Amino acid sequence: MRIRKSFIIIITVLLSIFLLASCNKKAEPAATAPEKAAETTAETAGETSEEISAEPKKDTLVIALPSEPVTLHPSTAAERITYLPVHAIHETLVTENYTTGEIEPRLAESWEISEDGLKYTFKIRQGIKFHNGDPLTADDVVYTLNEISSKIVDVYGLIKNVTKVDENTVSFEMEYQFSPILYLLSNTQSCIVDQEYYEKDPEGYGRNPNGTGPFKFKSWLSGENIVLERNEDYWRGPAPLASITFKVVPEEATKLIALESGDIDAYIQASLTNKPIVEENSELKWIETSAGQVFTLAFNNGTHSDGTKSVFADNKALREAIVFAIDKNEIVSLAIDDAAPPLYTPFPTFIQNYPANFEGNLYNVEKAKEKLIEAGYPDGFKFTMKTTSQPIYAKPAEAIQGQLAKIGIEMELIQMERGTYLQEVYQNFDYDATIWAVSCDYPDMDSGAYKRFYSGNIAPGKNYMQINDPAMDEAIMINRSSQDPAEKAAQVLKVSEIIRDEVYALPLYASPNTMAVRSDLKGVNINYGMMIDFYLWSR
Amino acid sequence: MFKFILKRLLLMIPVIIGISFVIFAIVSLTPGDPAQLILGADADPVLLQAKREEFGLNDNFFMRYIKYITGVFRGDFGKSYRTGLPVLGELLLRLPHTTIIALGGIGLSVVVGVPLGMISAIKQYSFIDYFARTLALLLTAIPVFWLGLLMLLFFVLKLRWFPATGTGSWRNYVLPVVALAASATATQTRTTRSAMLEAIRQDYVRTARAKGISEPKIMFKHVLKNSILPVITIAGMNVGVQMGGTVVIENVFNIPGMGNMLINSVRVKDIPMIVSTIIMVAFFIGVMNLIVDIIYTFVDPRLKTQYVTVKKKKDQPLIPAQEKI
Amino acid sequence: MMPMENPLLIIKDLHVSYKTDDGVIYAINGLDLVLNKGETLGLVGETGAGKTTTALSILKLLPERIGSIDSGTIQFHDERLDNAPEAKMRLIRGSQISMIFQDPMTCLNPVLTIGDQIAEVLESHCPPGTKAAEIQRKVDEIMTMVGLPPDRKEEYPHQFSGGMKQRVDIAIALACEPELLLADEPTTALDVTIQAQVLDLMRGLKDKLGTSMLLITHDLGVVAETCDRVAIIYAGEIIETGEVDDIFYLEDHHPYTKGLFGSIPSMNEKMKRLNPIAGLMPDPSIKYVGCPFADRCPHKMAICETQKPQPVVTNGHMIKCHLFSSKPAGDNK
Repeated sequence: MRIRKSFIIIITVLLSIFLLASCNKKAEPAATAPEKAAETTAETAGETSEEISAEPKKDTLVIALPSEPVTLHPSTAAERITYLPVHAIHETLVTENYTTGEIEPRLAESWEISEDGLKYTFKIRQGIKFHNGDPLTADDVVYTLNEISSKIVDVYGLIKNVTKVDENTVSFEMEYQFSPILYLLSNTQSCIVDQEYYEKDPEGYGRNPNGTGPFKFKSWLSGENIVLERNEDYWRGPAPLASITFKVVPEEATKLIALESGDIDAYIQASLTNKPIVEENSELKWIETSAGQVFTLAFNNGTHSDGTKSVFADNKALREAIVFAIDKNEIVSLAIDDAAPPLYTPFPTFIQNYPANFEGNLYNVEKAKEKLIEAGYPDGFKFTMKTTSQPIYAKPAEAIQGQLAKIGIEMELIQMERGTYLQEVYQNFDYDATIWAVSCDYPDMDSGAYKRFYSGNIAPGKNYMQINDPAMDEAIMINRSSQDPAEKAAQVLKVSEIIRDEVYALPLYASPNTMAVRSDLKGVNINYGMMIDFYLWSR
Repeated sequence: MFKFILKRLLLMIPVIIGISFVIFAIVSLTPGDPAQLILGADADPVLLQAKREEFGLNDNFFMRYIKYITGVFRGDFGKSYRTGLPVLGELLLRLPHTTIIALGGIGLSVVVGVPLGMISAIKQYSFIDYFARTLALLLTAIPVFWLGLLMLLFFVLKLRWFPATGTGSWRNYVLPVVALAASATATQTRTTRSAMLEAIRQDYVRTARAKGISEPKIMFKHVLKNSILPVITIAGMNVGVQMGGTVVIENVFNIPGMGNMLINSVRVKDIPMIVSTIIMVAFFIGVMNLIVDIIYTFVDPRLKTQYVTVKKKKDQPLIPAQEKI
Repeated sequence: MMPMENPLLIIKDLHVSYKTDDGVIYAINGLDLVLNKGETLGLVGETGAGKTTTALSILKLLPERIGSIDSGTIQFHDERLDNAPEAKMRLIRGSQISMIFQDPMTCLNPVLTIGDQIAEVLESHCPPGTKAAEIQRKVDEIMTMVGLPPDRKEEYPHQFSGGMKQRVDIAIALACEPELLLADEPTTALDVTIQAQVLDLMRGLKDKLGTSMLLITHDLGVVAETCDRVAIIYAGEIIETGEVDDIFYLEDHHPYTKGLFGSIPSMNEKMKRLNPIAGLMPDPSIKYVGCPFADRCPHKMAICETQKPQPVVTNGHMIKCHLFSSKPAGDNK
């Protein structure tokens, strides 16, 4: 019996050593037995590695997406990952310079805004052709603008009276002054679509798109990859990359291994935990930009779907008690490994007129305890937080849970599947507190504030915190219509102060957009909205 | 035999109706709105309503199910909520990948597990027996996901023998098949070993020894043939396990099979896709079980009489010798 | 009939033990047995006495790694079997010595045809190059011999009744016309009418082929009908042997043999009740000193507890009991 046991132990230990050895990436190549095994089977290995890695001056790109795009049709594209291929194929009238934040011309050569700021007139660039050879006309622009303003009412609904002025001029009017409209027109959803081509086969367009962009659609192998190839007739000159393959790779670990082995050249949304591994490897590069998503501890400031009031509604002291009990520095370290600093405004730092040196509510346990007594809970307090089970939300929630426990606030954390979460929290407001991201899709406070903080938007999927504050509404609307930087800046500050002083929510941090790439790639870029301009990439 | 097969195939219809109903109910009645999941958290309410209308989500649950299942029996599996494409076409595109991995995994587990189990049983308590048993224990204990990652690290990253992703060549399938076969090989080894040991203890083996038959012949002819039944049973049961395993494996090795698709579909509650995938898997498992049952009849003559009408004439006296005495 | 005239099988001082996880079981403890050519020897004893172990020891088919011959010799013709290599034993099994097992239900392979199972033994022992047709012809012949219709050779064991299966066993055992047949309770599992048929068949074939037979049984009726000589086995030892008549009609018997006869219902005498032997066989995991039957013996003496009785032979009738020791046991040394 003893012999048998020790035998099993020995075997187990040996196998574990083998397994650990294969994990240890830093192991000296020549010293390990597996490497020698590779040499002895040189025939197969040589042949294989040749096929996998040795290629003459590569000019193709394979980039991994975490899930498969649904469609390549611009205005129905809903997920950020879908924007990447869509925006490589299509182009917009104007475009945002990701470095300066300025609006630059693209398909529109120039544009004019009327005195009252209500009428926009665009001159369409001449001689641009779609991938199938159709010329870009004013009709295509009118068609596209009509499509998005009637279908995506939420975002583009202010656009009225789209008119074809002449063969290369298009104009439209705004319902009221709305300064960020040009940013919206640089969004993927407003990419110009070839009307004639689309109408021939509307259903098939999503899988066989036709744009004016630097890359044209080549093939889509369901569940596997989408291949784009260089548009040799591109009006700005052909792109350096000959082709882009979007490969669907859901698993983070698989993506990293595929990147290290050269199977893919880049992947977006790289996990922060893999940052040291990527940075250590000279063949790889870690790309990081500040992101538009502000992770926020949100309180329900209104009622649940059954009419009962949220425990935080009309109890500012209670919200304050929680806010003062939270140490953001620790949260940032626990949730995102200090990848971004704590944030005190409800907006990411890149928005225009960002209030630098804004002073937020600071961690103060004594104050938190006082407020808790003031709120009517001298003996501690218990509440429920709902989040999705995705780690990006669950991690900060767990960190908060731990901190609140220290001052006697018991936070029950309910992690739920995304669909359930959206329905309960987002649609029905059946929650007291949650962690969610307030996202900015364009560098204007309006992007986050109008949808989330404006009382007119207390509706499913919008102002789910049910913030109803006339001062807030006023500031948001002034910012919306104003073109004056000073006036806009004042509003940004005001909204930030209201959020801080009334404690409707607690901004935590904006975790960065990440990407891991092979280091031979040049011109690599990713912006706050996870947009990539592949035209700039080369190798 | 033909009647038997036909009967079994017909019996699959209620099974499929039952399974599809349960899955349909679970996916439909749990909270979470497919339209919202597909269009994203911040989707426009107007678009959401249009999507719900398009999917028929405003209809009564039973009506939706009946509409779906009648469609299925007409060969129309509906359209995917996510992509808007016909489900069947998508499934048929994914099916080959999954079939290769699942059948490859079973094949490999049988090819490795059965001989290993045999040697282990014949040379009981020998080095190779301990080795096989320890290996089986390890393979059962290692989670498929982890094993897959280790294999990726070792064979893809370190040795560069195989590509990490894709489906282009046979090399893409080697690692997934091996990883998937691991735990099945363990069960196969252990089942074969215990079935062999069980058979070795039987009286007919002693009889065979008393006949002076050589040991290899005893093992292959007498023992193996008798212990093959549980081995086939386990192989058949493994089909189900393997189909489950493909969900994980396809994700790790990035194979665009049905498991991979199932995960994507569940994420956005793509009801027609989820239910149809499950139906497909259920049908696949059903057919595999039927094949296993048919193999049984070839291996064990005692079972054959249950399915096949004996063609021998019955007028022959059953015990003529007794009358002689 | 002198017993020692023409011995075919001589077993001397055989010790066999089983090493199990719970300890060592001493199954055979100094067994002596002689079987002459052409003779049928009945080996009689109660369950667990070591009858089957004896037969398995002769064929060296004791369970692997568990059962082993510790000492003693088994001599078949002039050859020692106890230390013969496996390859040699394989040649002997089935051709020179074959065995019929107790339960015909389980000792045939359920997934092979009857014909195949009979042919197998022929294939294993025929000179190489024997044609398949020749073997098939022999299979038919043997099946006819044991009273089975040859056209059923393509059928499987489950299609046969118990008695017929035992015929198949007999066919397998006798296929190569062995010199020695070990029949381990061949009729126990069968019902009474079939028992008679099978015994008749065996007797007939044995005479026809001139085979010697070791008939293991606990049925004295079978012994009286079938055997030339009888050996009574108790706790792994032969305690009495003799001609059938010696055992059945002589006055002097080992007390155990008397007990055996006492536990058979008699047709002639009026008996109120049977007289079973009180007690159980000694624990086989302990090596006993003295007579193994001492604990149950109605005539127990002091010496029985301490010293093994030596065999006392009168006219070929051997009894191992202190009651019959000619000299006091103390004088032996």
